[in-house]
Amino acid sequence: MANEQIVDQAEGPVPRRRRGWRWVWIGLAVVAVVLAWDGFRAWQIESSLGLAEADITQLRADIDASEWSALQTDADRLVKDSHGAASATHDPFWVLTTHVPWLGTNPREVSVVARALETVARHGVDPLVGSHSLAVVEAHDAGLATLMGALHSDTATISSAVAAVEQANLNVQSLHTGDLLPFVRHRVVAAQDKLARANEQIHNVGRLAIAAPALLGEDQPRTVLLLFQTPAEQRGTGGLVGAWGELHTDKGAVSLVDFGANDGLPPLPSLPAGVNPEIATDYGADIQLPQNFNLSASFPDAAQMFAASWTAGPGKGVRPDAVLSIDPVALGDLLSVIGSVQAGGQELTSDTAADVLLRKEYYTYTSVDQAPRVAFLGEVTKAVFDRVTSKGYSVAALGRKLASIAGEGRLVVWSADPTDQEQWQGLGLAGALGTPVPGSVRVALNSLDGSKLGAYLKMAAAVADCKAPGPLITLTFTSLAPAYIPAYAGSHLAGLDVTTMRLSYSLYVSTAWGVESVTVAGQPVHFSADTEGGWRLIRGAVDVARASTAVVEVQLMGGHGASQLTALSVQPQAIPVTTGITPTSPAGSGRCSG
Amino acid sequence: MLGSPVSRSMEYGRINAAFYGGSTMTFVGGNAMKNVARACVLGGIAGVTMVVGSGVAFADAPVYPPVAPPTTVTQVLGVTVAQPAPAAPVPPAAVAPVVVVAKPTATLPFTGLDTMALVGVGAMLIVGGSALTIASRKRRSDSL
Repeated sequence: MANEQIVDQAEGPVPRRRRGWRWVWIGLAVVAVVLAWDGFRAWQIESSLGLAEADITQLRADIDASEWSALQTDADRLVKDSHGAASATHDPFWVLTTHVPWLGTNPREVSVVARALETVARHGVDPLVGSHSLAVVEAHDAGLATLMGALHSDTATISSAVAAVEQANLNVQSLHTGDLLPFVRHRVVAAQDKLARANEQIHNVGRLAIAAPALLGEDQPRTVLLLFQTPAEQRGTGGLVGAWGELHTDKGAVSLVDFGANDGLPPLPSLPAGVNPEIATDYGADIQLPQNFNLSASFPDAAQMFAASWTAGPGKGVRPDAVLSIDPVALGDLLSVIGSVQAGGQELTSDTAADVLLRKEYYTYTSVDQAPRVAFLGEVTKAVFDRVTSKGYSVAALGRKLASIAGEGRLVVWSADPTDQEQWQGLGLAGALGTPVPGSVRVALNSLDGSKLGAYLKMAAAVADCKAPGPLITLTFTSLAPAYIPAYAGSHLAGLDVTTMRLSYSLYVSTAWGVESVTVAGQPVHFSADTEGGWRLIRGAVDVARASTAVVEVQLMGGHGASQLTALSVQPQAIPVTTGITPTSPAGSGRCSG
Repeated sequence: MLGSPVSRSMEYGRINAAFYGGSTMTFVGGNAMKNVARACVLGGIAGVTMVVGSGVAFADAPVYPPVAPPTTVTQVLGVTVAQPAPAAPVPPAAVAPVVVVAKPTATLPFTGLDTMALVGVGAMLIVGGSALTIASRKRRSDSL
């Protein structure tokens, strides 16, 4: 009887307490399994992303090394690895985890990054690598015309790639990183930065695909006004426009049909519509002359003035579709890709072109009549453009060189078509002043002596980040002019030595900055303060004698939303300018006033 | 050092002279002065727009080489302006995008939690759970 009672008790229902523990253990086991599975997925995602990163590095290396044939393999591998990462994020348990409060935030954002990478690889990189344009780039002697045709035919592919990458970028940029674990936040923020950069890069491809074929007459023949700026005589956009050329472009073929000196361009009695009227306010009546059209650093304004003058003069009523400007340094750089050219009985190479066109030609053509020198320049131009439109050089190398030249501001474009102009502006090739931002300063020079002594100017521009009252901008000018300068190339100002240059410096800063002082050689000087395009325009003048150095210091005052300068740009000079933004000790030390 | 082109200053800087009264000017004021300056600038711009914006000819004869800017100011104060969103940098054109990826370390992927610490916690839970189970069984046996 006692035994039966014991048996009944043992086989009876499980006590509630034990049942509860069982469920706890089952729950814990389920959570442990899910976490373990998620851990496995996390490892899988991270491994795939690691592989994809290596693929991207390889892709970049192959592009840099012009290993075009390897790009398709690189792209395929990238698509595969990024797909591996993205598909792991679709795992049901992983997706479930992303919905768990707090715990799900990190996996959720990682999912977005992984899927964005797949989008970039599948819909951005892969189609571009397989495009006609890349096939043309791969062929070493396809020529510019073929490239333009390919770019034109790839318009849909490129715009679709741009849209896909833009969407991926938007998704990643929308992530809120504040609640993430530090480790994940660091990675997501880095992904946001790099994806934003990639987005900008692919947008540039898209912009180029729109604007370049149009400029080179892919859809219809175009008239392009070519301007030669010589930094030997500085102007706000680079240099005095000594000569112009009329280019006709038709399906990528470029021909020079006319060429002339700047004195063939008529003065402008009034500013053309579309030109910023502040230019007249700031620079006065002098800007009526073609030699002075580009006193301002705004190329779109200068281009419209040159276009209007050319139309009224040698253009005989024809309005150019675009204005393209180049300088002798850029011309020399182009020769390094397309090869040397013959002009004026001499061979111009990439090593000699800039020196000949900036300095030596003034020793060769010393007469008052400069027509032979302009004719020589015309010969050089024709030879260069004939070579550019022929085959037998790598368009990829030309593209790289053009990008480098444009980055220095030695090649700028203005288009009469607002859509194309928007693309050039987006590409940073428009030479526009842009929207004023407190972090940026632009420096430009104008020669006031009518000489070509700018060819011998060595310039440095530096920003010292003083804590108070604000940054100090230092401009250092050193003249390397030789003792003998031909009369035409020397200073034309009465009372000024023929080898001494007189320069006007222009600083464009945000109006949030005040200017505490401007000094020349340590002595305070007066300056002019105007506005142009929303920028504060600070100007003054300085003489630089042969074999001497002049230092101009501009002390800015912060406040009003301006605290530091992070970008400094200087118009291109004959001798490349040294620039730098350096942190310095707080007020009271160095050259910063307190 | 610098020869001031006094003779040209009027033909070149007539509008600036109108702004600044044709003499050396120093900005020293605070908000009140700022407003006066702002009013002058706006008024000046409006006037100039009327003069040149409609294609009216320049009054003065242009010269080459250009004359120096009229240097009449010794100090300028900053003004508060509404700042636009910073523009994205424009790097050289290239095709390949980049996405950064985390390299595995001694931490669990994407969480940053230390692997060994988690293993330790897990071990403690297992040991604790086992001990609890054994203890409860022992209590049950004792109750028999």
